[in-house]
Amino acid sequence: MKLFKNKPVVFTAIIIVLLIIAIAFTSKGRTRPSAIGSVVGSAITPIQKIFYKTGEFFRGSFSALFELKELRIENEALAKEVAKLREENRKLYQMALENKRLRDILNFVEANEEYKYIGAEITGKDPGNWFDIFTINKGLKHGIEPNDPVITGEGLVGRIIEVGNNYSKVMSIIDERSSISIIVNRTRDTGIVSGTVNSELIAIMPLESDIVKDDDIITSSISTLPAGLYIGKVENVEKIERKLQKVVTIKTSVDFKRLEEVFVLKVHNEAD
Amino acid sequence: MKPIEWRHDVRVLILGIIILLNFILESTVFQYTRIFGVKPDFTIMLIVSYAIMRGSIYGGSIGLVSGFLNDLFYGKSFGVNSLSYMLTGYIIGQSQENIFKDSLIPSVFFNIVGIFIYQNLFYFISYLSKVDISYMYVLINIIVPQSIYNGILGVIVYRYIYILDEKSFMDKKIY
Repeated sequence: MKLFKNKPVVFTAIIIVLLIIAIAFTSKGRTRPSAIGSVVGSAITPIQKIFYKTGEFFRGSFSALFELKELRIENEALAKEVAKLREENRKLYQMALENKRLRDILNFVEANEEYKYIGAEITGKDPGNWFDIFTINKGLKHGIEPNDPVITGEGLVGRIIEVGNNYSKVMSIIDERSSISIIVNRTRDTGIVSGTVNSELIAIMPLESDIVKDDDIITSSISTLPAGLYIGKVENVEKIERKLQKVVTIKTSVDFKRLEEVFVLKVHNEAD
Repeated sequence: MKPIEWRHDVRVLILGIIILLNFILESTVFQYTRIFGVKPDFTIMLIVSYAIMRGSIYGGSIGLVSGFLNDLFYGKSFGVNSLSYMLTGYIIGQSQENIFKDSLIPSVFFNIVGIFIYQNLFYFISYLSKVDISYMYVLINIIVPQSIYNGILGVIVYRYIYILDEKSFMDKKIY
């Protein structure tokens, strides 16, 4: 019975067993934080926000010093681009009007047209190197629910996996554990896209699917996320004959290294 | 084994503050310390510093509390970080009696070892909970660069923590 006199070893062993049990029970994920998590989270989120803003401020001021030269060149390029985009925009607007008119004629009811946007700021990111989870400063109070999609102006960022009272956790689409059903906009081929450890997006498509570089990838309707959210462009297609599939690398439209503000998308139920 | 007489020290209070501050900074400001996408692990530096100065109990407890905070906020399954950080601190703490604490070389060595132990435990536990990641990829792209990065920064952290820990007020009783 000498072992039981060695208190630290016994304590450690007990804690190890408890933690293993905790892992086993929670390995499927949770959508509501634990009681302690909720209390600590409500207290810590505002502090995190201050520190995050400070970091952003310093990065902003440092990079501004080095970028002054490039700014003028960039400005000219941007002015040209604006002119080009205005032109394009005008064309697209007319096409949109035409589209609406045709849709009215068809009496087509677009169920997902009514979105509600909830603006949120990022308060912290996962300290580890493996996964891509971050927290935002809106939660249950603001009407956020698990599985709501998170977007920016550029495209899909991820989805909510856990909601606290005044914060929630977002798993980004480049996380190793995330997988989303997608569709190729041009050919309507479907596939599944998932993240990797090195923050790339990889889609697995059937071998016969017709997909080339620069195809647009959007979410499909067979998913918890609403259909038609923009994900990115195809960067590289690799054929693997042995497995009868194509491995497609996707360049995300969102720049995950420079995320500051995001929108949580709420789809209005038809019953409302 | 000496009886443990540390529960009422100011040290425990200050350690608590350091752990909390470290956690907040890790998820915010320290995100900008990434080089080629790899972030040094400041939690490991803290754990290693205390484990080689004061042994398994300190290393393990700091690991447990830091990992606990990480799990609450950024973990999907609860306990993965807690378990791997705690075991890392506990294992490294076993070497405490044989280390010359004024020297900085052990801190470099144990920071590198610490990353290896932590990341391998983390990989193992993640693997058991069905997260499928290539080990070679993780080894080359995360573990090796991070251990080097940690070894370099760990010395600086160790030096300051050592100076702080030698201050006489750390041994005062709270009550």
